[in-house]
Formats: sequence, C-alpha cells, structure tokens
Amino acid sequence: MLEALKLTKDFGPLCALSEVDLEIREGEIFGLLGPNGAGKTTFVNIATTFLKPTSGTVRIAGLDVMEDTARVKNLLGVVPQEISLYDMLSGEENLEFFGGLYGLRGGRLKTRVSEVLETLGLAERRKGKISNYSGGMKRRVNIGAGILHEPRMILMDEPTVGVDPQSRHHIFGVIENLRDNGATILYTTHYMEEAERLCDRIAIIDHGKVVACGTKRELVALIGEQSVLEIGFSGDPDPAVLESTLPDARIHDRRILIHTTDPAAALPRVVSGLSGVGVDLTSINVQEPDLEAVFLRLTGHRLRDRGTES
Amino acid sequence: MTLHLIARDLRIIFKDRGAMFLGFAVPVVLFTVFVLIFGGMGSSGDINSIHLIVVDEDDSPQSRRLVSLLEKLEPLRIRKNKKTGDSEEQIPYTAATAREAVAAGKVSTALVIPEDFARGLEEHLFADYDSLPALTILYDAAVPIESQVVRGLLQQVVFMSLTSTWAVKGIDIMAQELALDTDTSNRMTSWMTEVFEEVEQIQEAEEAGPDSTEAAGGGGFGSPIPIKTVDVLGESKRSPVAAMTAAQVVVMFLLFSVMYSAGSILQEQEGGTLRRLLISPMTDWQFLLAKVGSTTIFGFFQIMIMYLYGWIVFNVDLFRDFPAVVLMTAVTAVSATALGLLLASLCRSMKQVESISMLVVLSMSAIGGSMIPRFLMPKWMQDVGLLSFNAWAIDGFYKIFWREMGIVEILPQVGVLLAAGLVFFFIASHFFRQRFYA
Ligand SMILES: Nc1ncnc2c1ncn2[C@@H]1O[C@H](COP(=O)(O)OP(=O)(O)O)[C@@H](O)[C@H]1O
Ligand SMILES: [Mg+2]
Repeated sequence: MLEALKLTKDFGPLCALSEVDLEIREGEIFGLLGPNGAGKTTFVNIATTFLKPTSGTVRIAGLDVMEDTARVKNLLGVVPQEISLYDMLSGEENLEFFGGLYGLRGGRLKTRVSEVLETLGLAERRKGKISNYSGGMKRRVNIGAGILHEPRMILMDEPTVGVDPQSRHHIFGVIENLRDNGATILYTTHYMEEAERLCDRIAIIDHGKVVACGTKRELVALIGEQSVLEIGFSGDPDPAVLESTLPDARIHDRRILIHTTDPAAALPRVVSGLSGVGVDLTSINVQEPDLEAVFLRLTGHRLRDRGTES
Repeated sequence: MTLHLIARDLRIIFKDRGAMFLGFAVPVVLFTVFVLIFGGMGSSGDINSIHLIVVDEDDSPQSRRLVSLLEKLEPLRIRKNKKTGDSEEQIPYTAATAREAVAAGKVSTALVIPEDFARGLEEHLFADYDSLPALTILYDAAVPIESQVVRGLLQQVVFMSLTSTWAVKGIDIMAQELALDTDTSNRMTSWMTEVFEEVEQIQEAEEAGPDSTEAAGGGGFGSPIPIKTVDVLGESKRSPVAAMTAAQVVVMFLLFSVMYSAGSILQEQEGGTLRRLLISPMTDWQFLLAKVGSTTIFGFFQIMIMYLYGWIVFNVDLFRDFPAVVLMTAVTAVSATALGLLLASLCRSMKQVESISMLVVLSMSAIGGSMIPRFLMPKWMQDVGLLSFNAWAIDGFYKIFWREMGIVEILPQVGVLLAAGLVFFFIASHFFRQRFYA
C-alpha cells in the first residue's frame, strides 16, 4: 500500500531521514517507533505531499506521491502530530469543514460527522467550541478530521500524545476498527507500549535510519528473546575485576547489563559475584524481552533517553 | 470547493468578536464622531489660500470696488477668467460656468454679483431690504470649512464696501427729512465720505493681517445687503458632510479588516490548519481565491453597513445610484483584499502582519485623505496621495455621493483599483505558492 525507497531528507547539514526503505501492506496497522527527533514526522510529511524529499520516492497505492500528488491526496487521511483545528468553530463544524475538503456534502457529510463524533465519544459536546475542549477531546477531534472521509490510507502522527489511558484505549479500538474495515494505517509513536499493543508490524527508527522492521515477535527474536538484567551499584570497583567476575556483562556508568534467556537463574550468580568484589547493589531490574530491550540493544540507548516526553 | 472554503472563512470571521467589533462597531462610532465634529465646525484650520471665482455681471464702479477689496484679502485668490485648454485666451466666468466649476470641484466657492447691483443699491438701500440686489455665493459644502471662511470674508467685505455709500445715502435721507439746504447736505456728505474712506484704509490694513481668516469666520455681524448662498451640490443632500466622512472612515477601516483577514493565512499556518488544507485535495488557486472571496465579502458588508448607517442616521443618499455604489463597494473591497494578501505574503507571522499593516494603513490613510480630506492638502501632497489606496477609493465614493456622478464617471477609479488589485493578487499568489507549495 505504501512503499518508501531510499527516502532521504536533509535539512541543511542535518539528515532527518537517511535512505529509508519501508513497505506497508494493505490492511495492516504499521507502527513507526522512535524517540523524538528520529524523523517520524518528516516521513509522514513527505508521504502526505507536505514536504519534498531530498531524494528517494514514496508510492502509495502504486502512485508516486511526487508525481500523482492530486490523486494521492484523495486517498489519504492524515492526523497531524499537532492539533490542527479551528479554535473558533465547534467540533462538529470542524469535522464538517474537513469532510467537505474531501468532497463530502449534504446528507452524507452529516451522517459521517455524526458517526465519527459517536465513535470518538464526542457526540454530547459536538456543539461546543474547540477552544473550550479538554486536551483529550481536541485530540479526538483531530483524529476525527483525518478519518471522516473513509480514506484507504491513514497516516497518524503520534495521535494520542497527552491522552489519558482510558481514552487511549478507546482510540485504539477505533483504529483497529478502521483496519478491520479495510483501511491501512501508519501509526507513529515514541511509546513502545503503544506500538506493541496496537501495531501489526513495526519499524524502529532512530536518527533518520530504520534499524529494524517486523512483527513484535520478529523484532524480539533479533535479540534472541533475551531478557536484560539491569543492576545498579555504588562504590568504585575495579572494572577489570568486574569484567573477570562477570564476563557476560556490559557495564554502563554504574549499571551492569546482562543479556540472558533465564534471568531468574542468572541473578544469584551475579549477586554473589558482586558481593565478592565489595560492590553494593542499589537496584535490580529485569527488562523482559520487549521492544524497549530491542531498541536498547540495537541503538545502545533507551527510547526515552533523549528528547522530552510530551 | 472554493465556496466551501469561503463559507468556513466567513463563519470564523463572524464568530470573531474582535473582528466584528473592529470591522463594524469602531468605524461606525468614529464615523459618527467625525460627522459631529466636521459638521458643526464653522471655521478653523490653517488654510493657505482659497480660490474664489468672481463673476461680476454688473461691472459698475460699486461692483468693481467690491472685487478689488476681495482681491486685497490675504487668503483669497480671485479668479475671474476661465482658463481654456490650448489657447492663451481668457474667457470670463459666467454664473453658469462658475456653477459648473464649483460642481466639478475646481473651486469651493464662487461669488456672483448680479447685473443690477449698483442700480439696486442706489434705489433700495435703506428703503426696501427685500428688493436689494442679492449677492450669490455658490459653494461646495463638501468643503465646509473653506466655503464658510469665504462667506465670512465676503460679508465683511460687502459691509466695508457699502459703508460709505450707505452713509452718504443716509445723509441724503436725513437732509430731506430735516429739509436741509443743499449746501449743508453736500458738506456733510463729503465729510462723511472722507471719514469712511479713512475707516476703510484702517480696516483694509487689518484685513490683510494674519488673523484675517479667524476674524472673518468669527465675524458675527449681519450683511447690509442680502447674501444668498447656494450649495451647488448639496442642495438636495441633507447631510453632505456625512457622505464624505463615511468614505474617509470606511476605507481606512476596510483596510484594517482586510489586512487582518488576509493575514489569517499566516494564522492558519501557525495553528497548523493550513497544513491540513495543503495536504487535502484542494488546489492552491482554490485556496487563494477563497481567501479573496471571503475577505471581499466581509469588506463589502463592512462598507455597505457603514453607508446603511449613514443613510439611516445622517441621510446619506445611498439609493440615488445604487448600482454605482455596489460597483464601487465591490471593487474597493476586492482590491483592498488583494493588497491585504500582498502584505500578508510578505510577512512571516500574524504578529508581523498586525504591526506592519498598522503602519501601512495609517500612513496610506494619512496621505490618502482618510484623516484630512485631500482637497485641504497642498497640491503636491494631493499628488503624492494618489499613490495610496485610500485616495482612489475615497475619490470614487466622493464622486457617487458628493458629485452625484454615476458608473461612467467612477470608471477611472474602478479601473485603477481593479488593475492594482490584479497586480497585487498575482504578486501575492506567487509568493504564497512559492512558500507553501514549493
Ligand atoms: N523544517 C525543519 N527544518 C530543520 N530541521 C527540521 C525540520 N523539521 C524537522 N527537523 C529536524 O529533523 C529531525 C527529525 O524531526 P522529526 O521528523 O520531527 O522527528 P520526530 O517526528 O520523530 O520527533 C529533528 O532533528 C528535527 O529537528
Ligand atoms: Mg514528530
């Protein structure tokens, strides 16, 4: 459904996307997972014709985004990362306007607006001005404006930032419903849990590069389904001594990382080994084999290490 | 699609209390204040020179004397002859051509001394005021200050020029009543004449002084002979000042609103909604034309509501030639919109639009006659004013409401505004398309 080939975007000296290859299959929810500044929005902007790439191509439903711009636009539904609505208008008026932009008119438009308001749980507040909505409600209208015209390909750029867990759960239901009705969805996020919970396949992106792509299971298999045993310590042990005691450990400033398929068995060995060299433990954390672990393994840093959480 | 966009824009504008207040309420209030100030104003202001056409139908010693006195007055420039285009030949003004000149706005005031002026004075002075020959002042009430000054000056001059005649005549009558002998009455007459000639000298010296204008305007004494004033254009208009003021004020506020409205493109950019528009199937031209459409409609209503208010409250003659009003209003609104788009296309943010448009609109309003009517400005200023949007728009409305002209006569203004509007629009759309669709 969506195919990116060697997609590159430079902003002056900064390379926001570097030779990105992606393939999103028809009818799936595809997650683009990466920390802030990874290049997710840049990718969405190019795919939605808003930005021109430096090089490379994106094809949607077989149409080149750069060449068949007008036809591509008609296929797409977009939920921008920033809430993009008219504050002066009500939720209903916003939806009517954006639906109208895609050619919906009259009774069809009215029906769709009502359906979408209902689905997103906004029916009661439909007449209220956007400026009086809560952040979560604005988010929901923002999503509604992108799905109103029943597009075949929906691109959602971090659509649930700042939404409470209950609404988020509800929104996930809506998105799954869209997929079950035949839409293809690109969903970007920097929340690992979201990608795991919602997406059929996931690409991990960092510094403008796709570092891995596949189902959650495939991605976890990349790191051999190992858990990460993460141990914090204090004191000043000799690194050479630590290394000889725990040859399978990686040491990052006062943290010891051990990759293992059986953390329960590894733990006593590590604890006794460390007490032998006079190190006090300050924390023990077992990172189950999940996307966070994959990300940590592939990039050497955590998803949330950089950037601020919004 | 374009209509859909226009409807959305208008919906937003009409929900925006600030825009409504600035667009409709403020101009109406300012308009009212201006009318009350200018309408009630007798004399003031520093007027350098006022052109006055004098038609001396009588050509008697008395009438020539009156004219020569007028010529001595500092603020007045007397014109007796009509300039003809190609030849050096000078044709004296007649009552009819003088009237035309006032109607066409060439001068604000003309004085007609009737044929039987001297004879009438001789026969009827002191006897029958109603039968006295009347001086006629033709004036353009669009220039209320100027014509009032001239009328004030005239009254004084007429009074001066008649005092000696008046006195001599008075002695005559007295002599008859008292049955004085001819010799005595002759001596009294010559004595009186001498006295009055002396008084006249003194008065002339005063008249030429710097305070003359003020003295004239404030002069409260009545005229010894009737002065008939004819408001050449405004005879039928009940509120001439309002018609003019409306044009001045409405054009300025129109510019403010269209700048704001056109600048909303940048607001949409900042609010992110522009991105939704740009990635939707809407084309760039639909987008720009819709902006022109909605802003023009808003501007059209703004002007119309002002004139409607003027019509209701100040009897501005809105319906004399309504099609001309509609044409002028539409053209003014669309051209102002294009100007607004151009300005917005050169700005980076709505904040910038607000501050720059304030500067641009205020300076154009100042030189273009929205604050002080252009005809009160020196000639070179009037010419410079033609560079402003205001001058052309106001001139068009003046022509309709003041000169009672129709569509044909406003075509120059319509043409210039439309042409400028087209140029503005294409430059603006070039910049916008480069910025948003590159
Ligand atoms: N218009 C722009 N000009 C310059 N740099 C930009 C622009 N847009 C994004 N960037 C940079 O490109 C990188 C990727 O940004 P973005 O795609 O927004 O990341 P994400 O959406 O994953 O947080 C960031 O370093 C960002 O600062
Ligand atoms: Mg982003």
